[in-house]
Amino acid sequence: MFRKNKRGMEDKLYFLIWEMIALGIVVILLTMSVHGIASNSSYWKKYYAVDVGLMADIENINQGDFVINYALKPQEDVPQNQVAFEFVLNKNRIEVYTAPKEDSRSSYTWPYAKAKTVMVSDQFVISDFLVLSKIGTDFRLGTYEPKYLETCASFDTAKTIDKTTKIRSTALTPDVKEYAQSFTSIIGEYGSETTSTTVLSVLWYHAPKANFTITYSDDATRLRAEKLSCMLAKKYSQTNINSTVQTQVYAPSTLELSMTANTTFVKYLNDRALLAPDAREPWILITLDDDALKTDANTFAGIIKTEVLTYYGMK
Amino acid sequence: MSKRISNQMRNNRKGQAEYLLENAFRIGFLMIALLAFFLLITYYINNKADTRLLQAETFANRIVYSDAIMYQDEKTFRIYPGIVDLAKVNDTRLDKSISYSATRHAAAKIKIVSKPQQDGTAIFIKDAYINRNTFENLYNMITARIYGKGSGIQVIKEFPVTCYDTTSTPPYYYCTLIVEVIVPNS
Repeated sequence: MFRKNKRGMEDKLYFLIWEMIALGIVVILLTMSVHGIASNSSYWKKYYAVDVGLMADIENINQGDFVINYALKPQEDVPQNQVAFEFVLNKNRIEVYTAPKEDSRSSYTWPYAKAKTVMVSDQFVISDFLVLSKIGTDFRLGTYEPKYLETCASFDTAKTIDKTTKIRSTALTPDVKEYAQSFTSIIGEYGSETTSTTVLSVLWYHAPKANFTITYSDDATRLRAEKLSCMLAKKYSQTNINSTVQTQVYAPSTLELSMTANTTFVKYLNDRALLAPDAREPWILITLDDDALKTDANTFAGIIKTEVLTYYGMK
Repeated sequence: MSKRISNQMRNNRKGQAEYLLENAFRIGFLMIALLAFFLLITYYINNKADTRLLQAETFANRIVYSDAIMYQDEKTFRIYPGIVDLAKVNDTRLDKSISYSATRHAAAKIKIVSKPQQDGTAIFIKDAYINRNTFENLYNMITARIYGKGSGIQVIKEFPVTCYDTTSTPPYYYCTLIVEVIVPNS
């Protein structure tokens, strides 16, 4: 009799314990949910993620440059000297966390469609004032005062280059012959056949008194040549921190060449002029100064090859 | 009392049924109370931002102003919103051009028809989809008048445009671009 009573009580006790555990779980989940709603953070996280995400979509239409300044609404439950939210810009989405991110229990995410020529690196911003900008190929989320960034045009220049195409490299003076040859040999696998169509011409010149300058073609190929020149100048400046490279469009009055170089250059232009306008390739003239000549010819050729492949969308 | 219940549980079926009913009511009442508590909170606190129409507008404008289907000059790289390049109107090209990381996001059907004839009808020219599977799934739900989180809303926009078709003579002719955007409810 005693045993039966004891086992019965034991069963009932287990039942009560499980019931209390289930109730506890439900209460904890409800409290967490209510806390999120009551603190307003979940609503504003969603609001900012959607708003900034849709603006990111519009900026990725990819026509021209955009800068959008975006001020966040002060949060009632956050002291004035504290920032309420942390934003993360990824390659395909915007994430919003309650600041600081490490203490945030959850984030709200909104996807956007990145244009294929636009570059994005992960960016973290803790601020009440956002600057969403698309300048050239750079898409950024920051808090800084927008200023002109050294960027190159974002239009798509992707094209397949192989043995059926040709990238010409010509030295206008003997002292840069090594540079022209290094580039020819390093780019050889992408086009060196003499009979194939020329898609790009790189001309080399050395002027001791001039600045390191890249001059580009001025006709219908101007935009393409300008983009490549910009990319090369940017890459070279990044590799050689103290160097500055100027870029300019070709104008006979501003380009000063020696007698020998000018003869070769004019001959090149005349030969090119014989082609149909659509068949004319873009060209760039790299005028090296004495400092630039200190860079090894193979290193130089490697930098140009990387940028040329990026330009053609092959890297 | 407990002794009586324990005995009833083990010794007769009537006791077991009584015990079950007693607790079923108890658990059921608890669930109703919790549900009411939760519903009251969610009803009285506005935590929703309905951005579906805005999302649809943004998506439609993205299609119309970007190089996704619009003609782009090869030399100047200028995009001409208003001139549809028919060679670009295909699923592969569109999915590459406007690609979201989430598949359950906005989806669209792009339809090109001729300008209205004298009898008011238009001749079908070409169509293509962005995020085709999502579009077809949600479209079926919407046409079947199924609402709720699993369904979506549809926005249809029409633009009188010029079609550029290299295979026809002349290559430019007037046509109508119909953009049907579907945005999921959740």
